[in-house]
Amino acid sequence: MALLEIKDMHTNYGVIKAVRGISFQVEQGEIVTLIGSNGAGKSTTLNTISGLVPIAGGEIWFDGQNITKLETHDRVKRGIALSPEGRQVFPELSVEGNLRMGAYTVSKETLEAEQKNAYELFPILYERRKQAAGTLSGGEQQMLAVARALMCRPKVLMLDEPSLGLAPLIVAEIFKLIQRINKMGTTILLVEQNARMALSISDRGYVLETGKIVLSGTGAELAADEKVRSVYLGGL
Amino acid sequence: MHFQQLINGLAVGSIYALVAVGYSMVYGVLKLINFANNAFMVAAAFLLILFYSTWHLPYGLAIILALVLCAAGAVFMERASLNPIRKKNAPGISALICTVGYSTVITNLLLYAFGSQTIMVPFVLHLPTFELWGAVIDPFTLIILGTAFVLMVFLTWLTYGTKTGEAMRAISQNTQAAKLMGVDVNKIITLTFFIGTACAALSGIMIGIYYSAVDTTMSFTIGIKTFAAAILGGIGVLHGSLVGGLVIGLLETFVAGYISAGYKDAIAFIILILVLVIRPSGLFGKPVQSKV
Repeated sequence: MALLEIKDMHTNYGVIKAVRGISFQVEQGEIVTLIGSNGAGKSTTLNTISGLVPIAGGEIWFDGQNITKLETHDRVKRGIALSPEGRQVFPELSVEGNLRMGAYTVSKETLEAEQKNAYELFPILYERRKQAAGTLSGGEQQMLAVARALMCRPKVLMLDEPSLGLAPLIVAEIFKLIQRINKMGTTILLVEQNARMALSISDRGYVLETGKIVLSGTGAELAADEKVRSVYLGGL
Repeated sequence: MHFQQLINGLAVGSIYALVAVGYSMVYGVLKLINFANNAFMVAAAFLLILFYSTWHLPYGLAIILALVLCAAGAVFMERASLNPIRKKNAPGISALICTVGYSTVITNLLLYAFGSQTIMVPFVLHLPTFELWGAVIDPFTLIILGTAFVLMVFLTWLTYGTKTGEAMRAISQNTQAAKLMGVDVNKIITLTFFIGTACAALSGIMIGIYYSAVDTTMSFTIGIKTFAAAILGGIGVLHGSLVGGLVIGLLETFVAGYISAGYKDAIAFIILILVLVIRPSGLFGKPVQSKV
């Protein structure tokens, strides 16, 4: 049984059908990537799974239970964390305060243990721990967003465009960290425009086009696919 | 004379501050001006009269009942009307006009039940006035100052020293991200309405006792001044409301004492306009950031 199973999911923004009946699974321990161009419905998919936008049809199953009707905070309690697009750190809270918010649903002991982990994974955050998050650089904010999402010990970590707007060196660093987090036992569902990088670390991937899944396969298969290469990997 | 004005100004100002806190806390989490805040403020004084003078309940119980009822009324407004409006992604102005509607309905209910005349607000402690540095001090002003001080300390602790307070601040900075942290946003909003309205209601009772009178027009006259206090200090900022309330209270008391009582409201608002021209987000408000 898959950890996360999406069955014929539809999401609308007003009259716009952003996601039109997609189905996919994420198995325990995997890194799965959704690739696709702007407006393909990738972020909408993650936002629907986390309950931020209402589902228009279909079902979401997580850890053997139907969570389609749960509120966002209940989904977080069950182990679904999202590091949202555009980082969305709390600008006026300190780095520490942001991490504390990440551990909102868990015990104080878990908070302390996870905070230690976070500072080990992201030493720069320890240096900046007293600083207001709004004063961090883009890369540091991205690391904070990922660290914050990990604080509640999620079973699945969803990352929405973690490389967006970052310098290439920092992108490489973020992807290394994603692999490390995965090796430590967290399942990853990744949405990326940087398809080459994403597919290179993924077990499997799905290609979205205008709200539908048009292709799926292992990371290597997709990276080798003629169409994926020409459309999403810039023909290289 | 100066000391007398200072004490009176501080007493009125700290009452204004507590009403301003009601506006400010709700604005902090919802970016909504709750115009029903002032109606609940006045309603509390009337409820005290009903519970104590008409039903003869013990005085302390009458106060507590009045506070809880007003706070529960605000929670009802949030659950029955504001929450459904938010869920439908309506523009902020819809929720705003909804609170104006509640304010009008409550004020009219009070008019219907108690009439338009000024009613005396009962006070059971008969404390003798005393003289201090040439000023005649009504001990009740000290009760006001003490209550305001204790409540401000409590609210500061709640906002900056508790997990719930951190969640409130998180919601105010980014509601969506707060949801993703597992915060039950609606629960926190409900709590904020409850606490903010209870503060305003307590102020309504204190101001009724202080002036020994309440009438429904106070919903507007004091409502608009305390709203101004919240804006002056920087709405959404706790200590801003405190300073805003004190500034308006002191200003109007000094103007009434040294110039003329007829000018006190005008001068308070002239200062407000001047401050806003120089600092549009208020004394302690943060400059507006537009999100990209």
